[in-house]
Amino acid sequence: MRFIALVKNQLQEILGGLIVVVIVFTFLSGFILWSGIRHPDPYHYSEYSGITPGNTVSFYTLLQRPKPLWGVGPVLLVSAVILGAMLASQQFAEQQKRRTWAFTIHRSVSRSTILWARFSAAVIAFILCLGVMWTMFYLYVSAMGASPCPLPVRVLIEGWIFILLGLVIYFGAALSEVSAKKKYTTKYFGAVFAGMILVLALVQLSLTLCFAVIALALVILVSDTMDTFLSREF
Amino acid sequence: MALWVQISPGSGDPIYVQIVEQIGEAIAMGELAAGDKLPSVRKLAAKLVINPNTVVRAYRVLEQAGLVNTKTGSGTFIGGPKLRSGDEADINILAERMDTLLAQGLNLGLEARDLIAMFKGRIGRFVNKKTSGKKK
Amino acid sequence: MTEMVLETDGLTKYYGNKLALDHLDLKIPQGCICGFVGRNGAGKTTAIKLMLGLLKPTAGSSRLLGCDSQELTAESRQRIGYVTEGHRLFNWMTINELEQFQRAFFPGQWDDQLFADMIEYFSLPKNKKIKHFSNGQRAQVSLALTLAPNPELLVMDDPTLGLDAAIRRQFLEGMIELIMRRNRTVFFSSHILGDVERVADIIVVIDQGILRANCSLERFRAAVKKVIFSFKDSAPPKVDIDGLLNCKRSKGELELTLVGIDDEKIAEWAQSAGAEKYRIVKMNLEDQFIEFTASSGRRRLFKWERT
Repeated sequence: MRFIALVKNQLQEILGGLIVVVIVFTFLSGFILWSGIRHPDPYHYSEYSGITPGNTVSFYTLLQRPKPLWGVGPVLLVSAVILGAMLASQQFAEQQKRRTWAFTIHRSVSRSTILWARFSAAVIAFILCLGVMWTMFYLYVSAMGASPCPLPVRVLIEGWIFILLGLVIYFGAALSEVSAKKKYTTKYFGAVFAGMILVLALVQLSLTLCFAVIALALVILVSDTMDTFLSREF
Repeated sequence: MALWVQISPGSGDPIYVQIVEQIGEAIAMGELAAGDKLPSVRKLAAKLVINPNTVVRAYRVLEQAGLVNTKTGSGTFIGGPKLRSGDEADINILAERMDTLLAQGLNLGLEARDLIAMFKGRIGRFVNKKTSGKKK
Repeated sequence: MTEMVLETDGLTKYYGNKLALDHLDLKIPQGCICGFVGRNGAGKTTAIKLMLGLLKPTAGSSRLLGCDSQELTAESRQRIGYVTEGHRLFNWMTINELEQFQRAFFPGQWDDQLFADMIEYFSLPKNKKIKHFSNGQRAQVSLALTLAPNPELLVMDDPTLGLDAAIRRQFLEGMIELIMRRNRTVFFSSHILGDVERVADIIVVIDQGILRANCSLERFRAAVKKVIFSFKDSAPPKVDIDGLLNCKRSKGELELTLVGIDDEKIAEWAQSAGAEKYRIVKMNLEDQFIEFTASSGRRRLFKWERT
């Protein structure tokens, strides 16, 4: 009951930002898809010889991937990163700025519950905002046969990896915001770490390693944020 | 019973003293008669926006002075004249208070006859009111 | 044996090298209203935040409702109402949304009728976002949100700061109303000594992080006295009397602020010092507080007398 109230409270707070992200993402992606379907690019298609397990997820080659759906990739990645940074800012920096932490913390729940509610709201936001849209795009392109070659599931997975990377950025930014360290010392290490993980994940040769990197990063960031939050002063 | 008591926290007198004095004056002037019921502690505290314990203390002082008596469960009532005749102990306390007043008066530089004149002038107010202005 | 709802034991807080609170020892029993007073920056908010587990003490400990402040359980927090400094609420929410949010944390305890009555009494718009409210209105919402769960212990951090007299009075009414229920306690910090004088049973005075007084309001009021002595020629150069707090001189006059000295001793000293006459000046709580927390021997800021 209380946990749900906390999550609901968070979702209500971030709703405005979510709507903006969804609209922008859908609009841009839709445009890319539409133009890709309408004007197939022969150059890219000739380069394309099908997916092999050896192909990397890397951002660089992604740009080389043929439209229509893979053109959305970069947009998805950037949206995910922006969403992550935005959520972290709204959930943690705003509280600090508006001095409402005292009001938030004094609740008949444990402090960790308060934090988990925020995390849950963020995860829900990512899924609803980007995850659902991306999956729908994939299904649409597959169903419409709009892609010149069969669309492997790997494309879908790669998109979700981008979403997860956005989540990594979120946790990294959250850790930075929650950290009580001074700005010119280690406060921003969380965000920097998340940025490094972003690059590290994108250069992986296999999806498994990519997931492993992300999973490890998430575990580190979540536990560190939890520790910091529980012992912090408000 | 339309008893109004006003307190002002900034005046320098403790609040309970202000209540005691006002009720005491009202009794002396005949505005409150024997058997009249004082407002309940809760009511007076809520009305004046003060701590209920202050009202309790004021009522207790009035009771010790023999002006009122409290019946648990019913409330606080103004005592009859019999109750207010004062026994020897009360009169001794009064005498001591008078000494304090007189000492203060003399320290202010007043002469004995000034003090007596002051007493005479002021007691006139009470006695007149008491005999002629009685309600109920 | 009365239960202590609020206890601190040598509670100390350093911010870096700055001492904000120095070994605060308090024991507040159930059923009273405790006024926590001190000058700006004396350490009131620090003390309150420490008690509520929002800050960590450098040394010492505190307990609320028998529970250590650093480990306040959810169940304890449910019994403690807290009005934060500045009445900070979520700006983006409306009263209705805040009500829904707040009452989720007090199942079975929330008084719908009281909340509705208070909002109506204050004439507050239920569907407007808090960011469009004035400070006073926000304070009123804060009060309603805190009283509706009927807390056993109400902790308020300078709840009437910057509010007009009418709203201040509403806060006092709220406190009185709460205290008249069984087993309720109120602990509030304030700058308005008049308010403290009205409602407090106990007064706690803190000055530059140090506890200076912790007693019943009656006792404090009776203990701090200001006496003006007049001398024929000039006042004695040295004043030795117990409990001397402050001493001011003017030609032929001596103004002493004393603590805990009864009237007989004053009369004795007046005689031994050769005073012509003396007068005990009536002081209200604000005057007493100012004298009590003034640094001894301070001079006036604006000189109006020529000595």
